Amino acid sequence: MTPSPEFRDGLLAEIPSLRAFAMSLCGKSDRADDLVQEALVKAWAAQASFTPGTNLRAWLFTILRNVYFGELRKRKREVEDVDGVHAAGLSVSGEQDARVDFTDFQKALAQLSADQREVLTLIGASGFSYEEAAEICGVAVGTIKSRLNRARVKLSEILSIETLADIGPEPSSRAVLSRNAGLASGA
Amino acid sequence: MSEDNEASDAPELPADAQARIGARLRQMYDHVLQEPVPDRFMSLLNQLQANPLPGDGSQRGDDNNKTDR
Repeated sequence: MTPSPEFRDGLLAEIPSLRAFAMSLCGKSDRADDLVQEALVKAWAAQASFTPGTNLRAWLFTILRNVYFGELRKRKREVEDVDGVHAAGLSVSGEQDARVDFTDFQKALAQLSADQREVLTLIGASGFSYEEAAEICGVAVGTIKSRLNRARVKLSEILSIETLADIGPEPSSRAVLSRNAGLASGA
Repeated sequence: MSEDNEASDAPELPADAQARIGARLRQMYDHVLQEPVPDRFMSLLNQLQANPLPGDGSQRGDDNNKTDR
């Protein structure tokens, strides 16, 4: 089969979504683009297995998340270390308010498991249904729903802690303390 | 596989908290979405189009099916 121009155009059109998804998963733009690149290469090689007229975005997201989770498995410890250190080391100062919101949120996301980031993004930002997300992740719909709920609860805990931390100094030590103190709904 | 209930192990967040999280998530996502496609991807697609993959044409099917799972 010769590669069809339609397929190429389809890939091209999905690159922004793939980048946004990859960025939500890994939190680093250079790594996100590497993931997208690898997913595109794999998609190209696998194009005979794509059924035209079906959901190209879902198909590509499946490939990308499989690349990501494959890498994660391969170097699990390393990645978790790096993310953890990264999250704890970022301090947020109140002056850059517009940016704070953004990095703050990314920092909070980095503290979730990759599974949780994935489901939050697929449902909350990419607009997939529970069924589509289940298909993409290769799990049951019920798993998606409970995973999503757990992700939201954890994220909101982290975010309310960080809202408190913004007020005073030493955000990193305070985050640990206030998490243990069980502060829940400060926001 | 069997648990199909919404929230097996945690109470659900209030709707307004869910909405806040959703809004921030989309803000971040849309920010990336609106960036122009980096040149590297245009080059990549052109390169893929120009150079058929090794083995392309003769064997397809078995190998390809693995990729989407």
